[in-house]
Amino acid sequence: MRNAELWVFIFLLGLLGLNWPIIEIFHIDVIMYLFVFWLLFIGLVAYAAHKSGMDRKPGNTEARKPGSPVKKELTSALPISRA
Amino acid sequence: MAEKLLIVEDEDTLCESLKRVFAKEGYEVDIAGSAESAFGLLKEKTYDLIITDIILPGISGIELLTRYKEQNPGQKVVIMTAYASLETAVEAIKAGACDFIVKPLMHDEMKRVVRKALGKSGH
Amino acid sequence: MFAPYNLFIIVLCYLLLLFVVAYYAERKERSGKSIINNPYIYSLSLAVYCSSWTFYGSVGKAATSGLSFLTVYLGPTLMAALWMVVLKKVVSIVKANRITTISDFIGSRYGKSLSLSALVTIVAVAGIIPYLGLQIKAIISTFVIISGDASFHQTSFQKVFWGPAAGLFITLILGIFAIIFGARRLDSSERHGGLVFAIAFESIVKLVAFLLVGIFVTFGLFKGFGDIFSKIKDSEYSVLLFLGPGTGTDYSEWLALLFLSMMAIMFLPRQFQMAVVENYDEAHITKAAWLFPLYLFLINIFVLPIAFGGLLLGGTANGADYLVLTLPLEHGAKYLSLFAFIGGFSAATGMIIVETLALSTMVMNSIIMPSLINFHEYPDFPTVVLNIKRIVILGVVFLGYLFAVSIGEFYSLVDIGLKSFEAVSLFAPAFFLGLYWKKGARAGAIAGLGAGFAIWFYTLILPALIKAGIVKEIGLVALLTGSEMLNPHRLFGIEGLGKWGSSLFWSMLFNVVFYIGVSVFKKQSKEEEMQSLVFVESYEGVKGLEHGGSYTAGDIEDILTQYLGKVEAREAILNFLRRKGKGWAELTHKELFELRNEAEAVLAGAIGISMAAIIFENKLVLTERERGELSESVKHITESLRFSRRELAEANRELSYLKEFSENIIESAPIGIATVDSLLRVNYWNKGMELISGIRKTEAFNTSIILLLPWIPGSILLRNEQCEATFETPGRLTFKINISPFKDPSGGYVVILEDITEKKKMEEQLLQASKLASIGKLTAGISHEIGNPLASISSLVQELNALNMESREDREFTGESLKTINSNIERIARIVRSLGDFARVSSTEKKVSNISEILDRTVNLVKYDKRFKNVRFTTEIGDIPPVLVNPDQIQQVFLNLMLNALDAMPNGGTFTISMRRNGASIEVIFSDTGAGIAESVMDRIFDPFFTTKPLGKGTGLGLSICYGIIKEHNGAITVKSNKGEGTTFSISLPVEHNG
Repeated sequence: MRNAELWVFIFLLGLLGLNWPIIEIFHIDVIMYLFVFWLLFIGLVAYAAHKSGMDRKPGNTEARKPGSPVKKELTSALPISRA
Repeated sequence: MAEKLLIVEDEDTLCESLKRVFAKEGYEVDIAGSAESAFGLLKEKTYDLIITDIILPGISGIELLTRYKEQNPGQKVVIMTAYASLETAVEAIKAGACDFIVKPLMHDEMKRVVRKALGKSGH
Repeated sequence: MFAPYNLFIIVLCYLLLLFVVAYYAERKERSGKSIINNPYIYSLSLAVYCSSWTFYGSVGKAATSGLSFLTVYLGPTLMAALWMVVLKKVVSIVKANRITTISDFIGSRYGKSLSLSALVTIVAVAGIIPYLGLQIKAIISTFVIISGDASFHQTSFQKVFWGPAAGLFITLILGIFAIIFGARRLDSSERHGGLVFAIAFESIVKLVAFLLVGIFVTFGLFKGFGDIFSKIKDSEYSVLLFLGPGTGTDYSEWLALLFLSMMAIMFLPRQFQMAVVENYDEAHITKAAWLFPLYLFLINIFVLPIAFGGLLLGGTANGADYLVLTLPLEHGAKYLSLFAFIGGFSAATGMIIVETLALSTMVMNSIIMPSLINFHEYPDFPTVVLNIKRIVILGVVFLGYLFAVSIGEFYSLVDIGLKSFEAVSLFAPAFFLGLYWKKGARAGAIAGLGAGFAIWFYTLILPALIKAGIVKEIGLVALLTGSEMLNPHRLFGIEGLGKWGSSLFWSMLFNVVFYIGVSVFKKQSKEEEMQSLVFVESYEGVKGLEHGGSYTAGDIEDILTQYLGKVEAREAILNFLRRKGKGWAELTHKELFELRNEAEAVLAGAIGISMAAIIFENKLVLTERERGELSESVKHITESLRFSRRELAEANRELSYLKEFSENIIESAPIGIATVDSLLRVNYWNKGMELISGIRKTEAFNTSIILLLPWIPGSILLRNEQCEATFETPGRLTFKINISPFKDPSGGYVVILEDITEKKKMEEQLLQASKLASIGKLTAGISHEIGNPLASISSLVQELNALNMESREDREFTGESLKTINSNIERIARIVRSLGDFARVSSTEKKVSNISEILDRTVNLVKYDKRFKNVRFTTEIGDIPPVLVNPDQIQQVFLNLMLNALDAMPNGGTFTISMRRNGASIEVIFSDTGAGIAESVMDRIFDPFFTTKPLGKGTGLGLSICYGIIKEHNGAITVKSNKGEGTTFSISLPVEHNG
């Protein structure tokens, strides 16, 4: 779910950058600013998309860990050596 | 005159033997097998000396002594017993016996004790 | 500049090319080597967004109001970042539920509502038709431009005639194309792979065309970007370079337009079609999230240069819409402008075809089909439906055309386009809130959409209609429009929101307020609840719920046939059967259910999800309450599990601590403890065992215990119950062994070995001492018993001694006396012997003996006690078998009891001994009439060192030793007594051999 928050963040970043007051800062050469910002934004999305594509690797199963230790503990704790 | 003896003893063989022995000495001997029969005899006669075992069927020799001495304080009694202990001896003397002898009896000693007891004045 | 006929042919050729491309793609698709299934094609197909508005309109808008055109492309760029979150969710829902249009989507979310999807369709149609019209208008206009001279004013009759006529013709062709692409068969949930590919193709065409024109203008007509921009700066148009108050675009308008375009990229029917319905793989979305914005970026690079170039080169803002075409045309690049025309044509046709298809499907599914549902039994129904769809397509296109030639000339492309954008943005509340807010109700959606639509129409369309003269400003209309509050241009008197801002603001406000307001107060129906779960939670739906009603596979096929035709229906069923590997009649109840679900999905593809649901009346999802209960249980279970895990870990820790502790105890206990399994193999051997047996743990493990401790009587180990035994080793040690079977089903025993040699020694000593004590008690009687005969003998001997032995009497006397002496000696001897017998250290061995004999021997000893004389002594000896006992020990017991009885009766009494057999045991009862035992001491009688006799008179050991002896014989001894009345001791000894 961190993923979703990341994207919302990127979106908000873009929204902020393309609106007043940020845009006002660059009012000298708005056009240049807009196009540069636009391109950078696309680059950012591309990078983030590439990264999120990488995270989907198999074997990241955390669910296994709690299982086995408990089991082991139990059997070793059980009493008198029934060798 | 012959002195009269009463022997109270539940062991028959011994009793008869003693009677014979004392008879040979010239005493007049009566025997009783128990305190009860002794009392019976004592009602009829008096004796100069009573010789009694302690352990008797029925009441003991000490008891006999005590009871008889109540009526006849001057009666002379000699106790004989197989069971020699200080306590018994003291008891016997306290009850008023003149002397006591221990079984198995030695005849000589027996005779001597009897003579001694008879020689004394009764107390 | 080009002859109309030539143009026609060129246009047709291009369309043919598109068709071929599409066909090729579909062929490849069918053979399994899809060229469509990749993110690049996907991203390019999304570029259907760029219609003639992009191609022509942007330049026009830039020339008139500067930078505001950019918002249309910045919006989607921003939105693309959210695609990863929103679009993926939408795609998965659509795929799972076989949704094919946006009206279906929204209707489905709100309880598969037909009315809502119909409303959405109406809004969409009302909103898009103008937009469609504008595309046609653009085609007509550009056609005219490129075929006529430079003038694009449609003044001459020819142009008036040709233009529209050509337009109509082209419209028709486009309609037919749309039909070919999308209405060949009735199941529209299939991919229009060919269409997608064709759109991607024409996206490339339009991009290339635009770039070429851009390069031409920027580097051909001018000396690059810098040149154009500096020139514009110096001109009267410099204001176009800026944003904000005073320019053509203020910030509120900028934001409003940004917002509109963000909505548009989601809700335009053609976008929904391409981005959602036609999506092959959710992973493509990841790439498209930046590829598509990149496309937009590229196609916008030269907009400003072209616009400014046009202005600088002496055009007015008027007609700037078609600068892309006119600039090359007027500056000697005829073929470039032809290519540009083709580019613009691509842009327009792409939009028209896809939008028309999408709209027609919506109309079919939401409006037409519900009306016709009652006729489904009409023969050949599927074909009829298909034909109706085709007619709808043509109708839509034609409506667009009508719009184009009537109202279209009053507004620029962009303006009309924005009106459409606003129309579809009305879907936003119902759509977005529907995706994330479960409480969103159908009534709310309808209310919101309705209100928003009304305001949209009133503020945007009505003025347009009035302007076009279609609606006269009289009567009620005039009243409304002239009023202070309800002026369409300044609704509620609020100004300053900008041209678009006002309408957008109010329509959105009413939309959202009505939506949320009504949803909060209205209760959802069950269907709505379910659907809200499906959408908000992307619920897969719980399949496999049992449902009443019985369909056969044939029934299902029949239903499908009615709507899809025999071939389609049969194919769908056979598909299913093939996948299951079963035959027609072999389906299980569960599989039949699955088939029904499948059939419903297939049908949904053809006639819309709402209709299909009605037909199959299916409920696949748990209601809110059920789901709530389920999630509660799951939560509860998870909690319990977590708790149990904790408890378990806790218990585990305790267990291992206890285990250690107990192991320590067992290990260090001063006795030998071992455990063996059911085969008598050692599996535990403690330290004590090591010491006792001298066998180390390591040697002992897994070895049979019989080998390790051979002196254990084997019989013990075979018992299945706890047993104890005592035995002696060859080394003269005594051990007590206790073997208990494990309660465990796997068998095994616990073996406890105790070295009791010392203990036994002490016991023996104690016994001996007790014996001696008894003897002590007897002494008085015995010494008397010996003394008397002895005295007799002595006396006789003395008499004999004094004899002369001469007379016959003497000799007789001697003979008699000797006999008497002899018998007395025997008396003595007897007693001495029995005493000696008794005093001897008794062995521990048991042997078979006659109890009554033992009793006799004992009585022999006791009768000499003087107290015995006063006692009436009786015996009752029954018939008893010999018993295995230790005779000395038993004698000791009898003696003890008898002595005690005598002690209790100093003055005489009755003493009875009886013996009898009682089943498996022998009972010996000693009963006296003595002083008795008080209740208070009764239970301590057998305690060692307990005595009621005065100090020094009794050791208190007697009865406890008796108890011990009897116990060892596995017998029992009990006492009954009343103070003052007498005491009875009962002994029972088992007859069977013990040990």
